[in-house]
Order: sequence, then C-alpha cells, then structure tokens
Amino acid sequence: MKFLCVDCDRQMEFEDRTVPGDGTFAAVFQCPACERSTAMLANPMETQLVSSLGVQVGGRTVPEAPMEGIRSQVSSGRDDAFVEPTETPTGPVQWSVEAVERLNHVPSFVRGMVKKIYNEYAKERGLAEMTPGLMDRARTDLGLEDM
Amino acid sequence: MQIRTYHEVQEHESNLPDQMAEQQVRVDARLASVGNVIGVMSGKGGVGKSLVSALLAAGLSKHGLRVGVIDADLNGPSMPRFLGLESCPLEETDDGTLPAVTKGGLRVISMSLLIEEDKALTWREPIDAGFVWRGAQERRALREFISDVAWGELDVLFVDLPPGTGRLAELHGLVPGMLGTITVTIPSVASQDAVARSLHFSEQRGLHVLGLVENLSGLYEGQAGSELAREFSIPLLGQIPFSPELAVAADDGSVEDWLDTEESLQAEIHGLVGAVADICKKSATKLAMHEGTVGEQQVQATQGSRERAKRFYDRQMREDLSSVMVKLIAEQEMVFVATADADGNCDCSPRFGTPGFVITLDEKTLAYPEYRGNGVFASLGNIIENPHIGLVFVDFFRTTVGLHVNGTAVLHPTDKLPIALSTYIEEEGHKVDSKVEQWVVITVDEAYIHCAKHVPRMTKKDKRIKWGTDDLKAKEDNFFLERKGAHEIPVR
Repeated sequence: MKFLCVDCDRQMEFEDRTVPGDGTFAAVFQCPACERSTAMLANPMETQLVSSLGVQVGGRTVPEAPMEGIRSQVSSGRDDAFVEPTETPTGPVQWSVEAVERLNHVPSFVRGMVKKIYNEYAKERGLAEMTPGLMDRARTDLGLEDM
Repeated sequence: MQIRTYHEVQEHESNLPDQMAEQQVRVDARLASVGNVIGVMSGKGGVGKSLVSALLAAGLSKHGLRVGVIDADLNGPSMPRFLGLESCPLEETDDGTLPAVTKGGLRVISMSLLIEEDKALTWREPIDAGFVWRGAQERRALREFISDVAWGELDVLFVDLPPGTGRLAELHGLVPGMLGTITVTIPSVASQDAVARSLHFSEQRGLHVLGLVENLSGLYEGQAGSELAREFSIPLLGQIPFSPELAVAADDGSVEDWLDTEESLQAEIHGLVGAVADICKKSATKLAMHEGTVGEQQVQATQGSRERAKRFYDRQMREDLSSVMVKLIAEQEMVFVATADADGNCDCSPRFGTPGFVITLDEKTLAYPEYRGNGVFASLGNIIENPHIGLVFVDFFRTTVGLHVNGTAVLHPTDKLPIALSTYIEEEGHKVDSKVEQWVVITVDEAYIHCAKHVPRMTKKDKRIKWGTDDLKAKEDNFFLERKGAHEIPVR
C-alpha cells in the first residue's frame, strides 16, 4: 500500500501509527512537499490481515522476534510454554526495578519476546536503561499497544 | 488527471514485499544446516500419519541420523504425546527457540507445547471474522516453526502435515526444495479416494512423492497402498499392520522405547525406516556431488552468485528422474540433444517422435530411437568418441517448463539391446516404429528443471509427418541452399 499526494505527485511518507487496542489500526502519512497529512484507518479485519503476514506498515524498526506471530497472536498460549528467565534482565540494557516489575505483568507466554523487543529498541537508540517511560515510548513507536 | 500507479511509485518505508522476502531469507538461512525436508501427508484424516511420522523420526534417529520433527497439525497436535514431551518448556536463545528434545535426541516443535493443555488453538481475533486471516496466521506459524526454531545441524526434518493438501501447499511454498513427501493411507477405499486426490495435487505442484506407507494393513479388505503405488508409479515403502502394543506406546509417549522391543511388527517398521534412511542417504550423496564444475564456481564467484547457485544445486538438482520428470518426458515429441567429440567440439541436434518416443526404462535410464537421417551421424559419432550427453526437453504446449537431463550415452543396434529395452519393446512394441535403426541408451547423472518464466506457450497445429521418409519434398533439405525463389520460408 502506498500513498501518493496527487497534487504534488510525490509519495507520502510514513509519519506515525496508533494501535488503540480495539483491533483497529491508524497510520499517518505526510507529503514531503506540501506537508499534507492523511490518516489510513484500518478496521480489525484489515489490521489482522496485515499483522498475520508478519509485516509492519512503516517498516520494521526492530527485527522480527522468534515466534513473534505465534506469541503475539495466539490467545490460548500456556503460561509455562517458555522457560522463565531466572535472573533479572541484564546485559547491555539495564532494567530499572520499576521496569522489571512492569515486565512481570506481561503474560509469561509473550514476556520473553516482549523483553527482547524492548532490549532491541533501547540498543538501537543507544539507551542504557529501560524504564517504564521508555517502555511507553517503545510501545507507541513499535505498535505494541495491544500486546 | 494522470495518476501514477502502484508499480510506478517507488517502495518507501513500509516496503512490505521486502519484509516478506526477508522472512523467506530467514527460512532459507535456517534450512542451510538441514539436509532434507520431508513432508508426511495424507489426503485423509485418522490414518495414523502422525504416528508414522513419529516412528520414522525415531527409527532414523536410531540409524544415527540427526532428526527433527515439526508437528504442522496446528489444530490437532499429537507428536509430543507420542514422543513423551507433553510438558516441556521451551528455552529462548539469541539464535531462536530451542526445540524440545526427546530422550532419544529427536528435536521437536509442536503447537501442543505452546498452548494450554486441553484448550484448542485460538487466535486473537474478533469472533466470526477470523476466517479472513486464519490461513495467513497458520502459514506464519508454520514459517516460524521452520525459521525461528534453533534446529542446529539436521540430516532430516520431518513435517507432519494435517489432513488435506492446504498445509502441504504452504510448506512447498516456503521450502520449494523439499526432498518430497511420504504419503500415508489405510487400506480402505475411502482413504484410497482421498489419498489419490492428494497425490494428484502433488503431481500438479511438481512435488516428488518419495513413497507410500499403508498403515493398519489387513484391518480393511482394500489394498489402497499397493493400488495407489501402482497407479501413481511410486514405491510402497511399507505396510504396517495394527498393533495394540504400538497403540499403547503411542498413548503413553514411549514410541522410541517401543522400537527397541521385540514386538512382532519390528520387521515391517525396520523395513520402512530402512527404506526412508536409504532415500535420505542417497539424497545426501547427491547434495555432495552437486558442488558445480570448476568453471561454474569461478563464474559464480565473479558474479557473487555462489549461495544462490548452491541453493539451486541443493534444491533442484537430482541424480535420477522423479515421477513428475518421467511423466513430462512421456508427453514430449521433441528433445534437443547436445554431444561433443573427444576434443570438445559440440553439436546440438533435435530429435522428434510420437509422444513418449524417449523411453524411461527406470529412474536412472532413458532410451531414444535413431531413425534414418542424412547419413552424417554427427551425434552418434560424437557419442562414440565421448559418451557425455545433454538432453533438454521443453514442454511448449502445456506447462512451459523444461527439463535438463545430463548423463552418459551408449549406442545399441536393434539386434543387441539391453534386456530392459528389449523387454520394453516386447511389451510395448506397438509404440515403437519399425524404421528405428539404432538406440541411444542414457544413464542419467543429473536432472533439473528449466523454469517456465521465459518459455513461450505454443499451440500445436496439424502437420502430417512421414517418419523415416526419403521424400525430398517432405524433407526440404535444400531449404538453405542457393536457389531461385528461396526468399520466404514455406509454412507446412
């Protein structure tokens, strides 16, 4: 799907996306010449169709996580499907106590994957610490609002 | 107002086609360390396909092969139960998700390891609208089972497919170079009907069917296994009678242990496992052979196409003829024949005949007749000096695919034919023209597809052909000679 500013004959560029959690999806595109913005609003069926292909409108900002589709889309996942990491998340990205606490609220079926995505997000931006505020930003930027 | 259309506008940030292509790259990268991918399928449910998969996997593992199993029956997974893996948390690593491993060393992934016990597989989807994308979700799950599981080095990866052909099509789309399928039936007529449909589907997709397994042999009156094998010219790899002990072993997760018992079925199972082990080992030998010539490798290095070429060697090249190749050859009326003399001077010449004039004697042997020609014998003369031969069949009229067959050739006068050919002529003599003067018998070294994308589809027009005639008008052998009025090509 591409958006063309007819007046300028320029392809509009992806600006922002919103996943409000009701199954729908919104993406904003802007003409680089006249700066006119257009929002693409997708219904739940359209949203899911794109999601099920494992692609992201606007391009991927972090690589696809292992079993991302299964873990993000299966609703009957078992809590003990994956070995729980025993230690506090460490590595290049340090997690604040508050961030760890918040991560622990994520269902264990997707927790490992979500942690990996947040780590990738911070590493990409050269950020050393994961905080609840950064998690909020990542959720918005990566379109993880419904996870 | 003129508006540029989709393909006239450059891809931008989203670039969904590239994102999809990247997914395929991950699949290919993962399978680079996997020797063979084999689908276990059936057109019919309830034939014991998953149990056959478990037996084959466990049996091959005991043969010393490194084996993985994907339980691709997402909605009815049973592999972990058969292999004693029902509760087995998976570990995540930087390389992907580690598969569950049985005590015998089988590596397994299954939806039953991921979803709640006693719950159906359900997706996050609005009620009554899931049909829109469920197929895409399931294909994505299959892709992730292949690409996102850290399989490591494997000799064979079995994919236990659900009944029907839908998931097989998805698997073949993701792994076009899969070795082939093993098809499971039971003796009943209903199963025979359903499995025949799935075998026709495999034929249409150009999928190699490695063989048939008849499960529950003797439990019904039919002989679906042997009849299907005959109808589709594929090997019947094994027939497994019903065994209460095996059924119990499957239920309590001890299939691997059962293979070590002295149960009466052992001969049948070991025969089946041995046949599949031979197929895998043969394929491994074939892969090792297809590294390309020195010249090919040099050009590939210059052009940076070594990996692409390797994928082609691994996935497309065979050292024998598949059933689909045999079928294509049987339909052709023309073949291009390339030969070279002892010094490498080449000649390329077409040969023609009625459909099937090139005969497949077995999966490694072809034969074609030589009729009276211009008396030069360019091809046959070359073959006497240098037996290497290259054939290209092109199906211009139906599929538009081509088939390369390279091998070595031997000439045989009609009174000194190899037994297989003389037997064929005795049985099918009505198909062989009496004007044949010699036969060329070819041992196949390699066979591979010439893809259809640039081959034109043609329509055949009527033309009366007199085989072996010396009629000058029919031969038109002065066509290119200087002569009056020879400026236009006469159309026959």
